[in-house]
Amino acid sequence: MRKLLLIVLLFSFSIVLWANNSCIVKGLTVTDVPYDDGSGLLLKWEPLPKSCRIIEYRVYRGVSKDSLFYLGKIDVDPIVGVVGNEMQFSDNDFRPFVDLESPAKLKKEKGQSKDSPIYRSLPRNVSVVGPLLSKFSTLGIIDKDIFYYKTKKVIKNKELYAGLKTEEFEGIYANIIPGQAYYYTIIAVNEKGTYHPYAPIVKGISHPNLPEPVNSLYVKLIKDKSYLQYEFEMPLFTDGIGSFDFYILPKGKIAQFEKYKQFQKEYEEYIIKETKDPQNRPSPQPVENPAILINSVETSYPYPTPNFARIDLNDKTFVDKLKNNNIVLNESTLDNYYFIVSCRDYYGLEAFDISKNVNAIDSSALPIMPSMKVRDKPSDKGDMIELMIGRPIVYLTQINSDVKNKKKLTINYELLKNHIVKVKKVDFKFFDMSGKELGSVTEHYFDNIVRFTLPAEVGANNPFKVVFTIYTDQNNYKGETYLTQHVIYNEDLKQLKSDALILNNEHIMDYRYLILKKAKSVKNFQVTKRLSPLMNTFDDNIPYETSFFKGVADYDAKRGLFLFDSMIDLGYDENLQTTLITSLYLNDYTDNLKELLSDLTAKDDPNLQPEIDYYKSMLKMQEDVNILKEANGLLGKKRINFLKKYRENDKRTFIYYLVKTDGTAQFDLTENYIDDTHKNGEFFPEPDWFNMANLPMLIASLIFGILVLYYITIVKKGVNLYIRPIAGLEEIDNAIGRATEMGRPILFVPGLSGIDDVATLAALSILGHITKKAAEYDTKIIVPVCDYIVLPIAQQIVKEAHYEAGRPDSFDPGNVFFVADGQFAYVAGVNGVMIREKTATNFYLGMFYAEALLMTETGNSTGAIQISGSDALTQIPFFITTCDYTLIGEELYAASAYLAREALMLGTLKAQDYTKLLIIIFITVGTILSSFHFNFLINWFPAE
Amino acid sequence: MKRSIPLAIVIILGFLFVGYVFIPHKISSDFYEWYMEWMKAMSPFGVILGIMSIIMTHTARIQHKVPNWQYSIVTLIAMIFTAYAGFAWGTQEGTPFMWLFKNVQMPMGATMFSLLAFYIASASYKAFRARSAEATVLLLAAIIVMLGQVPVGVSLFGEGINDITHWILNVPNLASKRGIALGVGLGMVATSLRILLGIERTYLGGGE
Repeated sequence: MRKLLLIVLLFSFSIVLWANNSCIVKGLTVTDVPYDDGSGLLLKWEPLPKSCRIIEYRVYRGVSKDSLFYLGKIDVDPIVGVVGNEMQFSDNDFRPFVDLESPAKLKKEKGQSKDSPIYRSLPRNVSVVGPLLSKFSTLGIIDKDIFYYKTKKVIKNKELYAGLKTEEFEGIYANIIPGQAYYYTIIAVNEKGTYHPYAPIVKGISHPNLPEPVNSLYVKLIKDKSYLQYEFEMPLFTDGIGSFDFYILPKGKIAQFEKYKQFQKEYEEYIIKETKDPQNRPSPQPVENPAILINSVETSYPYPTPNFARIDLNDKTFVDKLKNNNIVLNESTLDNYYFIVSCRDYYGLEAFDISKNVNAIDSSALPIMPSMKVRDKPSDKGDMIELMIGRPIVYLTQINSDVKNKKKLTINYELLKNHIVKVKKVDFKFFDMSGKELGSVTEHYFDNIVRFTLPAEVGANNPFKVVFTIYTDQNNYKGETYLTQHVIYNEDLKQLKSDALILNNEHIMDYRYLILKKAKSVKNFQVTKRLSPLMNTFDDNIPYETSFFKGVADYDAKRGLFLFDSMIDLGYDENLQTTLITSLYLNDYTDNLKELLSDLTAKDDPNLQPEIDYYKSMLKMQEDVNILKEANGLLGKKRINFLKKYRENDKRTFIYYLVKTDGTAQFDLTENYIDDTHKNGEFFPEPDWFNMANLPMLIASLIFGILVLYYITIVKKGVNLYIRPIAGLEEIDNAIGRATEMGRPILFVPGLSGIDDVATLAALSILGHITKKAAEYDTKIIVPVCDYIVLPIAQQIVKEAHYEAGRPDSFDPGNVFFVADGQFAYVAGVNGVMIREKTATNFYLGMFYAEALLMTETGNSTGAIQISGSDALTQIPFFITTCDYTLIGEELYAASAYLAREALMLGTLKAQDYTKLLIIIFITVGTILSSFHFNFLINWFPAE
Repeated sequence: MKRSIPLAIVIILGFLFVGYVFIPHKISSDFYEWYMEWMKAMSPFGVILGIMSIIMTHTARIQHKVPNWQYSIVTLIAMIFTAYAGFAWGTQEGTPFMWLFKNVQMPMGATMFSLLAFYIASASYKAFRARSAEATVLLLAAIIVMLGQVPVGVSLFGEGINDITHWILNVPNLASKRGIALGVGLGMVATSLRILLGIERTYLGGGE
């Protein structure tokens, strides 16, 4: 028997062990990410079978085999499993390294044995994390004010640093670096939370590659203007690309160019070998690029770099460069050259794309540029600049024919306009394809629908066109805008469909807009938005600077600090052609520079000259540049405040221009936008103190407030105001009396909303009155509550009402209780109370949803008298149907004042009525005016 | 003091938030964000109040052996076990907590919700009994709208019933809904103003 038991036990144990081991991740491989700068590795593994019920695959990384830390995870649905036979995880971005939420100490991962190398996240311990810093590229995110005012000065190995504790960072992120060996493993976790054994650890080393070339390169020569225009599609991988270079290559030199491309490949192989195993191998023999560089655009990573270039061939620089190479570019010589764009990375590796689409056009073929306006967006918190492009646009979105009369059309349209244009009216003129007018419709109020019946002689499915004439406010856009849209019959859908939209003989949808902007503090323009040609307004978000991004360079284990450079970047200075920088600690910085300079000079090594020149220029900058001189004249916090203001101003001041393109280098662009108040084209978003969109609301509130004060004054003088009787409130006393007579309790349900809902506040106000009355009659009142914040308030109200009624003894705190915050759980609880306690009177006051009918019908079935009140429009019909009395909408809010009968309260009620009267008059006048196409009132008080 | 300090807090903060609606400045939005952070921090303490209330209510019922006191034991055990499941195994997919949510709470909630269909039928019967002229109008409107919503209505009475249905929903129905909404809006403003001016104080507990 014992043997049998032992065998069974052993069998069970081996089954458990087998089941556990069968869920170990297999086939883990680590490969280099292609086309990158050496900062990416790609992990692949086979997904486990569905029977393992895996909910997540956790990835661990380390710089040695003996300690791997949690890096990230991929969630999996345990029921569906993984579709496909491969899972991937890219380690090619900055991922959380250490932050406030990291464990305080090194902690083994769940389910790991003592000798397992698998740990949870890196601990927030500087001594543990510090030595790893050099193995990664790091990025510390620091709150702006902490950086300016709370960093500690540290000098380590003669270098000046600023230091912060782990918890003072918003987070420290890390990414892998080329040439460093990393070790990876995967742990699968099942739905019970069991951590399966880790997969065999695999090593990976990343290295830089040739960048990915651009796609779909187009080149156009604009004959009459002598512009050479390039446009291309961005490659998928843009990390590590330092610039896009534009070349011309005489076709005769293609063989030499191929050699140069071959050299690039050899150079890539050389870099890969040196990255993986540095041995100072001789680099491949350089080959000269025979193509002539005519333009270069530096990337503005992480912002999108422009994917086009216009080279003015009349520009002296290019004329000289081309002349020296015996190149004459015109329509007839265009075929003699290749036009090339290269992506150049920071290692000097280049990938090329040669254009197969080159042709010459006249400037008349270029798109017609729309007008553009830029302004600081009004009524904002100072983080928006508004761009308005072109004129208003109308287009048809859908055309529906009547079922019986196919010629009776209901046409949906869209009117797109920007905020400074006021559209007065839009004419829709219908023409057949031969140009014969079929009729017209004029829209004065834009409800996005027009109805039109095609004339009898026109077939129901015949194509036609619509000419839109948009009449705008003369002050902003003089004249009218004409657009034409074709309507065709779609045989597949069996209905009319809007087609080409034409403005100024251009098919609008063939183009798109690119909005380019450049901060005052940077050198290059970036593409901030690609817009559909239908869009004629764009709000450019200019966020306030909240954080600093700093590479974490070192650590101070003794003080528990992570160290980073103390420099403040003040932006690019176009006059000096350099970026202005200074340190948080000026004196220490200049002393440090001087010390480094004297050390380097003492070495007397000509190879160190560039370094010496750099330090000298930094020193000179602190002393000579006006803005730095001005800042450095201030002390302590005043200096920092000055620098902070200067930096923020420059970083948030932008210059804009617009490009309109068809995507094939047939583009045109505007000059940098300037206007009378921004002659230098620089726009800074100023915060505003009043939101003009809320002006109607303010006016209405003020009128209401004045009426309230007026009626309060009147009532205080003793004038008796008539308040119409509200049946539901009149009956409250009777309902309480009924419960008293029957000797049964009262139920008060204060709705489902929280205390932030005015309906709940109104309900609680009524609760006080009802409880006081109930306490006077010594009737029990039960208040089940759905919101835990409402609970103590309701308890206090009930308690005080009992005290006021002189019956503190009858107050039972257990009668006001929390049921549940789930809607239907609450209903179940309340219905249970009704049935068990046999309540004689039920009050439902406040905000209700689908549960309303469930409660009131139950109350109805128990024979209770029910009084309800809500502002929930969808529930009022149910209340009216099932309750004896219902307070409809505003009556709920009036109830407290009505019951209290105090002068101050009644004043507000009367003011409310008169405000309503004013609104009714306003609506009536507005309706009459707009019926006669006087829309000024609607425009003065817009609905949004 | 017991009343004046909370009242002062309500009035000051109330006016600050009124200001927030009209002032888009960064100072105003920063204050709002700061307050919302505090709100997030304060909310969990409210949960404790709810839990305490449930425990006190149900332990009292068990102690006093009120009718059906056994259900209180079920409630308390369910609460404790659900909380334990959440803390011990987490709340993600596949955990006991999620199992309880999917297999206990959701079906029970759905059961309660499904009762609504029967209650609506019963309420409709009460509402549509043609006892008066108004109720007859209501009944007729309801019949037309119901027929307008289903294909059989169109096949019996043609496209016209659709138009009438739309008219009923979009003109008299919408007009009355907007009328109520207007009153509700004004009522809300009036109540808020009473609270802001310190006229309405009953929500602080009792009367004066």
